[in-house]
Parts: sequence; C-alpha cells; structure tokens
Amino acid sequence: MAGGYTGKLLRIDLGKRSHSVENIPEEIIKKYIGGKGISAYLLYKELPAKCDPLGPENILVFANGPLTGTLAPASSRVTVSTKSPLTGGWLDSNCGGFWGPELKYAGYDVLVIAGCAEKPTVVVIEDETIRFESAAELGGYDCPKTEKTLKEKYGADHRVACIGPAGENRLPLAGIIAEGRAFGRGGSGAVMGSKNLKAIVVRGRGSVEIARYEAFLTANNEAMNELTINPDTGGSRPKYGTNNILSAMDVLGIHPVHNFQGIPWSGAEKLNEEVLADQYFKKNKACFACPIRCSKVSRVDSGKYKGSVVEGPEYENVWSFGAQCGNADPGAVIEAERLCDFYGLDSISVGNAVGFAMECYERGLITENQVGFALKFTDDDAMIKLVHLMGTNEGFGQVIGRGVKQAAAIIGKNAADFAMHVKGMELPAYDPRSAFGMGLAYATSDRGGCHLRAFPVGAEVLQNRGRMDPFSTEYKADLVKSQQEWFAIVDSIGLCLFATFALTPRQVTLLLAGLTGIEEFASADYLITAGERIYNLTRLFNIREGFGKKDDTLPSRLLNEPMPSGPAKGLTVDLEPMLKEYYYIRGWDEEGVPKKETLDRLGLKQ
Amino acid sequence: MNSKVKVKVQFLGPFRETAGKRQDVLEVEPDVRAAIAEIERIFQLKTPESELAPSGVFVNGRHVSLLSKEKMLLKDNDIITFMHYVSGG
Repeated sequence: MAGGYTGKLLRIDLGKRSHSVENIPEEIIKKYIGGKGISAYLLYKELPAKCDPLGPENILVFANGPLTGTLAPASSRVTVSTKSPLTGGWLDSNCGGFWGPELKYAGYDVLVIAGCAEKPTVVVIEDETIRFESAAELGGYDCPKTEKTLKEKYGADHRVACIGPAGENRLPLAGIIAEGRAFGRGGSGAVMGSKNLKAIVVRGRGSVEIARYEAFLTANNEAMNELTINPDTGGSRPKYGTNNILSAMDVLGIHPVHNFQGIPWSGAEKLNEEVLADQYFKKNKACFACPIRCSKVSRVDSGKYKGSVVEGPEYENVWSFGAQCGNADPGAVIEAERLCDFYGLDSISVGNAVGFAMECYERGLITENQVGFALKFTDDDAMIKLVHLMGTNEGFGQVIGRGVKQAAAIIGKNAADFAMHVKGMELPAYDPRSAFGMGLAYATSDRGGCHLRAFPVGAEVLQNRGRMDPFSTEYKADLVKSQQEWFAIVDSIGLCLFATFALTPRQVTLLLAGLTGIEEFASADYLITAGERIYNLTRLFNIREGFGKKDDTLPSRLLNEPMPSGPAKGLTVDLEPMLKEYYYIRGWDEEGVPKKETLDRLGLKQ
Repeated sequence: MNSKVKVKVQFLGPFRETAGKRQDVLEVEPDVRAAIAEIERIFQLKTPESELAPSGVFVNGRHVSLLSKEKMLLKDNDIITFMHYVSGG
C-alpha cells in the first residue's frame, strides 16, 4: 500500500451489530484520493436513489486523507459524508481536531456506518477490536458531558465524536461534535441520531508509513516555513483567529446585517478581531500537527454571560450570532456558540435561522404567541432562548430548527423570499451583492449555501495581486470552477483549507508525492483533474436526487433587492451570465447536467 | 491648486499597531495617490514587515486599483482604509 494510507475500510452494520474490514483498491485511491473523493465514490455507488436521509438505508462515511495524522502541517482533517436531511442532497462536512488521526492510527482510512441500531449505541474502535456498547445512560446528554463520560470510561487517550440532544432529536441542523471541533454543516448529527448512534470512540496504536522519507521531510520543512512566514497563517490568523477578517468584511460591505437586509451596522466596533483578542481570548489551541493554531479559547469575565467559555468564537459565528441577529455583545456570541457545541448544532445555520425568524417576527409573519416571546433584532436574550429551543427541540424551536427553507414553507406568506439558503442550506457570512463571484460559488456549491466549496471573496477583495473587480461577472466562472476543484482535493487529502492560504499547489504535491510515493500525485494537473472528477461525481449524486439548474440559484433577496448601503449600494447579483459560462466551461449542458464527453474524459459513468 | 479635503482614515490589524490608533480624521490632498503617500508618511506605515505582507488600501470600501478616474479625487468624508493581509475567515 502507498504511504499515508492504511488501505483499509472498516464497515459497520449497526442493525446486525457486525463489522468487516475491506481492502481499498489502489486504483480507487489513485482516482479519488481519499476524504471527500473516496466518500463521493462510495455514496454514489452504494446509496439507493431517493432514500430517506434519516432511514436505515442512508450511510455515514468518515474518511481520512493520506496526509491525515502525518507530520504535515494542518493535517488533522477528516470528512463525514452522507445524504443530507437538511437539503436532501450531497453532504460532506469536514472536521479538524484529533479524531481523524486517531482513526487512522487504529488502522482505517475509511469508516462506513450502515443500518440502524435497535437501541442507543456507542461504537468503540480500538485498533482491530470493534465493540457495540449500550448508550442507554447517555440518552439526552449534551456533547461535553457525553465526551467526559466516555473518556472516563474508556480512557483520556480515546477520542470521541458524538451527538447531543439535537442529533438525538434528528434535527436537520444537528452536527457531530468531536471534542470541541465539529462536523457542523448539513445535518450529519441527525443522520447519526437516526441510527441510534450516540458516539464513536476511537483509540489507535498504529502509525503512518512514509514512502519517501527524505523527500517528505524536505517538503514538510518548506511547508512549515511557508506557513510561518505567511502574513495570514503566520500572522493575523494565529493572533486573531478566524475572526481576523471581520473588520475587512465590514468595511467592504460583505458582512451581512439583519438577515442580509444590508442596513448600516455599528456592531463591528464591539465585535472586531482586536476587541475579541484583547478582551476575550484566554489561550490558543491547535488541531493535530497545526502550526497555525487559529483556534482560541474565550471566556466572558463580566456581564450576564459571565463564566461562559467556548473554543472560539469563529468569524462565522461572530457573524451568525452578531450582525445576522443585530447583536453586538461578544458575551452573547460566545454563549450562543457554546450552546451550539453543547446541544450539537451547526452554529452557522442556527444563527442564520435566528436572524430569519427575527425578520419574520418584525414583518408580522410570526407572533409572540407562536414563538413564546418577542423576537426582535438586537435582542440577545431572545436569540439565546431560541437557540435553547432548537437544542431541545421544543416550542418554536421545532419549526425553526428544521432550517430556514423548511421553516419558511411552514410559516408561509412571503417568508421564502428572505429565507437565506441555497439548496436548503443556510448561507454563511458573506453577502454576494458585494462580491459577485461568491454568488456563483453559493449557487453551484454541491452541498448548498457554503463558503468552503469555493471562496472567490479572496480574489475579489482580499488579495493584492491578481485582484478581480468584485462587482463584475467577468472571469468569475473560471475562478469558481478552479477553486471548487482545488478545494475538493484539499478536502480529499486531509489538509486544512487554511493551510492552502499559504501553500501553493506545488508545495502540496511535493508533500503528497513524498508521503505516498504515488508518481501521479506529483502532478498538480493530475490532482486538479481528480478534483474535477470529484465535483462532477457529487453533481451526479445531486442530479440523481432530483437537483438541477432550478436549484443553482440564490435567495430572491440577493437577486432582486438592491443593496441599500455600503460599497455595493444599488447592486444585486447578476447570476445568470456567470452560471451560463460556468456550465459551459464545466462541460455541462444548459440544464447543468454533465455531458457524456465530460464524464468520459473523467472516467465517470452516470 | 486643489484645496485639501477632510477624510476618515481607518487602520486595521497590524496597521493599528503601527499607527497607534484605529482611526483618525485628516486633511489630505484630494489626489488618492498623494493622500495615501501622505498618510503612509505621517504614520510611518512603510515598515520592513509591511513590505513583506502586501496589504490593501481601500477608498469607501473599493480597492484603489479599481477606482474609476473620477473617484481618484477624494471628497470630504471619504473613508480610506489600510487593510492588513488576510485570506479568509
């Protein structure tokens, strides 16, 4: 087997309480690399079309990349893939921390969870020993308590990925929490809950083979140096965490306010990177083998949220529980993010949904009677109450916790016009009226409203060289396509996306070729073609589930309501020309279906 | 000869540390390039570190390289932002 890989797939059937270990063919590894890629291959091959995402037919695929668990910098990443209960389509969700490396040390590149346990279960993986244990006493436990209980039972050296009450209640906004890090988006926690699987505990005592030791170490040293001297990964990110861009996003009019209504907002004065770093960050934290250490532990020392502690807050949540809800109290942001980790919720979608509910309330579409309390923008007490209701699946939380698309359908009237999602997944912290390429990235993201399938904002407003006009549609199709392909590779090799802010494709190929010894991986062109293959495969998955051009769109607000203030004042996203060009250069037909010659070139079959 | 205009200047991230403040109001030449040079000189923003870390200067949220010809002349109350190098959130 090539270096970096164990070559093993562990398949667990919860219904039969059985497991088997399979060899992963080298041709599959060469074609799909690992992580997201190999998961796309497995899900497209094994999942019946139109299956119930919360039924026993759905599977959860946890997959490492070759770099996961190696000395390579920022190589902690593991991906979970499944059919999303939030969107009904493709979902892959990527997590840092230590769980993925531990799975590899236990001997597995891939873990497939199938079937449904009869009773609440914990799966314990200790190298080749697999046990199914009762989770009866863990029922209703929050994530930190679940983790603590399991570590006390099995040992502090065991790694835990678990769900909280939100996952047990099969909430479409539920994620899987792995010791403070999260497989956050798209409802993988609900799928785990539907399988009666409370937690997966892993302990591995193996190691990772390196094919070309000297070449790998040389590439590794170069990568480490690059990350250290880069002004982002070695400068502002270690210092400010992911919130390092808040002021920039605010100044550039990209930071969405009050559910993307685009009104002026002064909250950045209280939530910007400097305030959080100076007043709330208590210590740095890093994922496995990461020199960036973007993660921060924050604590609230005064006010009504005094004592609240969280690993974060991340930029996305400073937005989702900040400007999105009109809140400018950092304490409330920290408490809301803590609650998401506590209940096992996707903090981007939850904050987006709270802002959506606030707008529904202010427009009179929902009442105090329905919600149980007044729900106005800027009311942080109401924001926190609603997060609790989602976490416990009570009251109005049962409506809004289904995500904004489904909630808008329940609320009715014109709520769908300002439900800020794509394909059912809530949008994150970037208003594409201020960066048109981001609009195309959202519209064509395989998992829905997401900034991690392509991030053109970087080229549109942040980079000093190769800058594009954010208010132009020109060249955006090519930018988004190439980023989607590269990001698909990054999510397949086990590397954190943040590392690629500093590392070039050449540096990544040197790492991969040295580690694996696979000649093809020394070619960036080969890898990018693999990324294209993976992105076409997730497209085929979505088409099989009924998605198409009609779903490659944006919320009405972004297409029809001109930005009322800021640099993009008066602008909407001109999506159609970008989408048309995107389909053309992708080799897809006018309905967004990959053409036969495209699939043939990539070695895919519909 | 053009009279000076009063602009708000924002310093983000490391620029705040170099400038010693997050923002200021200054009277500068209306020509954008002259104004930027003047601000860089006043606050000694050109450091060896800043040369290594390419950053951006924005006028009213628009990068200077993308300003139209008429926008290259500043007006009263315009906002000039010195932004540190960041790549994403």
